[in-house]
Amino acid sequence: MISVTNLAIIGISAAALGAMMVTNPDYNRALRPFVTHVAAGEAGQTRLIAGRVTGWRTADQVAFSDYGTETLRDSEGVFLIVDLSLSGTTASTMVAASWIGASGREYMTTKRIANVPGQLEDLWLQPGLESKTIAFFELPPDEVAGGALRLAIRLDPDLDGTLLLDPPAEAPAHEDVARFGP
Amino acid sequence: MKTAGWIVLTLIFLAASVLLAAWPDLRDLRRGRIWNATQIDATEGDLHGVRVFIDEARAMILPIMDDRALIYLRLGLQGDPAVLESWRSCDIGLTDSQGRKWRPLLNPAGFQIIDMLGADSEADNFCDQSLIFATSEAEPSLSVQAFLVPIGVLNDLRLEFAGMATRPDALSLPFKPVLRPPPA
Repeated sequence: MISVTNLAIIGISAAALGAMMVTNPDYNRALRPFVTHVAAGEAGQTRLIAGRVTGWRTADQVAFSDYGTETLRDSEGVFLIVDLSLSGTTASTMVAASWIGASGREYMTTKRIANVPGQLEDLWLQPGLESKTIAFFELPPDEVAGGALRLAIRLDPDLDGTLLLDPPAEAPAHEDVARFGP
Repeated sequence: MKTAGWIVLTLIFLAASVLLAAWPDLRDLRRGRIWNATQIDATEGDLHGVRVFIDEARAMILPIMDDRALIYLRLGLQGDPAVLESWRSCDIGLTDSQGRKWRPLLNPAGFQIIDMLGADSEADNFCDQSLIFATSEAEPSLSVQAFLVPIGVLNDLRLEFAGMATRPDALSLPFKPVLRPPPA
């Protein structure tokens, strides 16, 4: 009887161990950020970022001044320009944004547009201050509608809060050339 | 009684294995941030044998952004150059009584603040550079930093400073910037 009990304990232990090994999350799953979904027009808050989308538009070309050099960028896709209002941090924080397209693909902010005043890449979100900022994406036109903006701290986003902000309900305005001054 | 002994032994080995596995992370956590900031009331103090002092602290409020203050800090470090270099990098920030922390601006806005408020200074190194370029124990190594803070905290700020190698230890000095008028 004792041997049957021992065999049962060993069997259950082996089954439990196997179940744990099979369901053991990989590194990316174990350390992924906590996502807060925010509806259109509303503001979301994580541990270090509060943010909302205040506007969006698309453009075929973007013109800007890069340290005095007038620069024009065009695209085989479309430029998506998202205006954001950020606040709510307790320590100076750099923020990163990406666009989760309608297909589920993720597009990081484009590096082809740089040194535009107020651009997200140059922003340090400061405690006690609200910051207006702009994020530029370059993506296929059919990825705009139905997409959402992901906002996270730039360094060590693992196991930290991430905002998934829905864009405004109305369709984005379209411009041939979006211009940004120095 | 014998069974209880085995259970206790198992728990001891479990705790030991957890501690062994976690030890590198615990050590990184201890070194990864400031846990022990020594607060003093003077504008200079000693951190691991190095004199840390506020050489110049200035603030300016621009009419077009009257909810925030631009801050300029010229920080001095004086000590054995080998010790300074071994600190590797600066962990520097302005803190308030609510525990909030403002880091130096390392972006175009920060460079503009330094140009505007520190035009009379020849010092143009950032803190990390000042650790590397310290030449003598007799001469302080100066660095410049820019910050952006809400005007409501201007009278409630402290400078918190550590080197990467001094953490978890840091020094916290009162920070009272002199307000300068905006350019005409």
